[in-house]
Amino acid sequence: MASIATRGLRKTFGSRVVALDDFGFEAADEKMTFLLGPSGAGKTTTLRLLAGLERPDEGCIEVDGRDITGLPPRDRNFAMVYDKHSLYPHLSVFENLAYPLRVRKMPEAAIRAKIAEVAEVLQIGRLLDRQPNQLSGGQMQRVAIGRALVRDANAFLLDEPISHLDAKLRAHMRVEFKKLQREFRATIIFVSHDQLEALTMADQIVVMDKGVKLQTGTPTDIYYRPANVFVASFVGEPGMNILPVNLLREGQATLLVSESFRLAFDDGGAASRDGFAGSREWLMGIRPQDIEMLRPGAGENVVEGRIFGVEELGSERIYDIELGGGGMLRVRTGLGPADGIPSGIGDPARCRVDPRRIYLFDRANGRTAVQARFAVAGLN
Amino acid sequence: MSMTQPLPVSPSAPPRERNWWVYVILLLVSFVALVPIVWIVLTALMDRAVAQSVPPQWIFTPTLEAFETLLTRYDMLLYMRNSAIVSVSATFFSVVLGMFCAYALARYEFPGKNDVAFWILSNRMLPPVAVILPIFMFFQTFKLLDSLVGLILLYTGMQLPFVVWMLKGFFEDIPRQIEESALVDGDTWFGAFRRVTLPLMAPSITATAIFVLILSWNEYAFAVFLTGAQTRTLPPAVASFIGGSDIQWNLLGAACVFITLPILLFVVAVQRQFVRGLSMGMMK
Repeated sequence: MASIATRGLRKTFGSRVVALDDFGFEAADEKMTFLLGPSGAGKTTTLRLLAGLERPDEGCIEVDGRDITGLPPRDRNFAMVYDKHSLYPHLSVFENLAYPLRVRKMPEAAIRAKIAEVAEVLQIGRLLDRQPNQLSGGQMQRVAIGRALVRDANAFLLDEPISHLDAKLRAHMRVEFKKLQREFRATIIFVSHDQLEALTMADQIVVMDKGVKLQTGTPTDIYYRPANVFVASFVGEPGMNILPVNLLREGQATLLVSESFRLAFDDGGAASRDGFAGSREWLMGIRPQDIEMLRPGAGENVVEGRIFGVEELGSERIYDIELGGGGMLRVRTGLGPADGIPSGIGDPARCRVDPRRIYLFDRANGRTAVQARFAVAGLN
Repeated sequence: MSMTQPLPVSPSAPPRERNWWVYVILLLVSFVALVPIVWIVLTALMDRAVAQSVPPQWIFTPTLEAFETLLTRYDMLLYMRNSAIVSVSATFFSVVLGMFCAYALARYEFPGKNDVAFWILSNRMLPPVAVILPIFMFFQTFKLLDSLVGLILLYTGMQLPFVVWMLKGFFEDIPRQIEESALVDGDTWFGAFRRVTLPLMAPSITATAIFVLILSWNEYAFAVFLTGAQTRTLPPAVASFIGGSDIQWNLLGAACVFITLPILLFVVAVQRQFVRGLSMGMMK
């Protein structure tokens, strides 16, 4: 396996569409690197550039420090798995697995041995004689992974390989992928729009949007120390609450003020430094699970509103709370009616916001101005 | 448990429909459609006197006299050989050339792509009669008159637009990812085309080839102008039995059997492939 790096990749389609702009990232050897972003972020374009199916307008791609930008796909020795159409429909499972080996003129006996070995690992031994249309979705993707595993590829390029499977199977495949990756010590570049997949499987995540890299980091980094408001709201389910606020200093305290609330903010002294003066506009970020639902009564750092909707998740609930001065707040909590929390639509709701878990973003450019205190001080 | 026990039926289920009248209509339509064909075959089996008799006779002693005459006094086998050479060659060349052209149109973006596609289609909009004279002059200049090669070239050119448009659609139905997988798996472009795309296209290509074969086999307008005694194909040969006041009905019937039977047998033989290819195009 090998490490992969790209530098200054740029790819345009036609004269208007810029799919990738100055995109550089590094995928470490034997690690799983995620390209995460919404559709139109340029993830798949990046993968196609890596595979050699498209040529970049600018920039270069390196494998173990060797420039491969000009090489055709067959000389790059990558293995690719698509979201669908990943098998040759006219060939049996065995022949699908054998294809890359036959192309390399491997002797028949060696092909059989190699396929038997991979089939054993993936538990697809009894499927070898079947045709692809006789397989279930999960089996198909398993065979597709097998086709990547039979050869000693430099890296695996996976384009949303499990996004078409049903939720239960997806959860199962997530674990299986991670296990395979460790066993085979594979370098994997995994394209996904599913932040949960990225958080659960990745060693490193590259968050991108509109062809631009926004942040690179471990899942913990991305989740707890987002570089900007886009990353903050894209990662996490349900997404982070983002509300426009003004910054106010009262003596030693920093307050976040809007028409709906007035909250103490533990900024670690950041707001008293330069750059926070003046009347700049800010966005406050708070994750739904960092808000506490309160029983009616008094309390500090409280936001008030009315319950707009409640989603039951079984052990937890998600409250949508309409704030008095406009705006919505989502709260994810294990508490409910049994704990004396009002839960009827239209009921008045009160919730406490932990001042150490508030993020502050610059409204003008979206960058993170102040990370939440607890994430800076060290994660618990 | 006895097999005659009725299946449980929901009380709210509508009564099973028995559309007996559909069969009556189908029988009628089949009768109307089949009678002329049956009559042609019967005529082919009559001797000359029976064929000319008025009113027509339904009951007679069948004879192969007409077929014998066609084979001995007329060069029917030569015409059939010409037809076979011309239509098979034209089918081969137009399908092979058209396949690559269709592939390019289906897979690659290039300037003027849509114009090329439309121009190809527009070639089929002109009726043959409109271009017979220029083509005749052209053939005369290049000494292609009265030659099978000329006819093969012409039919190849005529069928190309049809092949390109049919196959373009079929190629577009094959997901690009499958070919790209082959490239990433280490194959060359042509290797991927041969080992992955072509096998997937086989039913569609067969269906298109059969269409082209039938069209070339039956082509009349150009054949009658551009061929001579030695290079005549079946359609003008068969038509020649109609000329004049004395039409030999039994010979004409036998000639019709001659021209229809080979292609009919061929299509029946490859019918399953054919239908599969056609239905593949429907399933978008």
